[in-house]
Amino acid sequence: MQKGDVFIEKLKITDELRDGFIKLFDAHAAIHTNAEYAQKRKFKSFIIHGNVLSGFISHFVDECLPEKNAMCYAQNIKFSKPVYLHDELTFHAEIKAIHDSVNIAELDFFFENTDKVKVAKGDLLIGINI
Amino acid sequence: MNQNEILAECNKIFIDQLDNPSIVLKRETTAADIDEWDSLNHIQIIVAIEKRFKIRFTSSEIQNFKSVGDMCDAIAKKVTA
Repeated sequence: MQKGDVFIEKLKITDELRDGFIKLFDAHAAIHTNAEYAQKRKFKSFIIHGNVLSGFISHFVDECLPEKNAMCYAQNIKFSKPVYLHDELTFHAEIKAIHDSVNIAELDFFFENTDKVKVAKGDLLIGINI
Repeated sequence: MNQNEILAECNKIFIDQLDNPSIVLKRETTAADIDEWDSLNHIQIIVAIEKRFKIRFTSSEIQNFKSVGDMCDAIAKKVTA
């Protein structure tokens, strides 16, 4: 891996993903579970927990990098736009710097929906060949 | 940047990375002196130092760090090079 490398992955917000997250983490706020409640707050429907996207980042780090045995040391993420059930997202990540001495890669990333709206963005510090 | 200034900057980085405002680094400080300074945090400290001083260490340089003073010496060499 080297500076400038770009990674692109697809993510679909399925019923299984959404329901599993709510059940596993016991997170039932109305904005995430009640469409009518969310619509009264200017959303199309209930919105997906932002940390579902964080979970996907774990998948990316573990399964999508060319280097195996990677680990996330640090992560910043900002959820800027709502994500809805059945949304199809594209995850873009780019290596901004490599710290060879400690096998660390710095990446910037964002998630974009099919309307090309960035719904979340952030940065990662990933250890490789751990 | 002189050695005292480098040590002071490193102190800020350690406080931030280890989330411990009581840390006071000395040249002779080692990982054994700071509870939070484990192998995971060590990597993040190195990355933060490389970013702050706009330098890069080699693996062998890092392996030869026996104390904070060794690290400051390595930083001083690179920032004045």
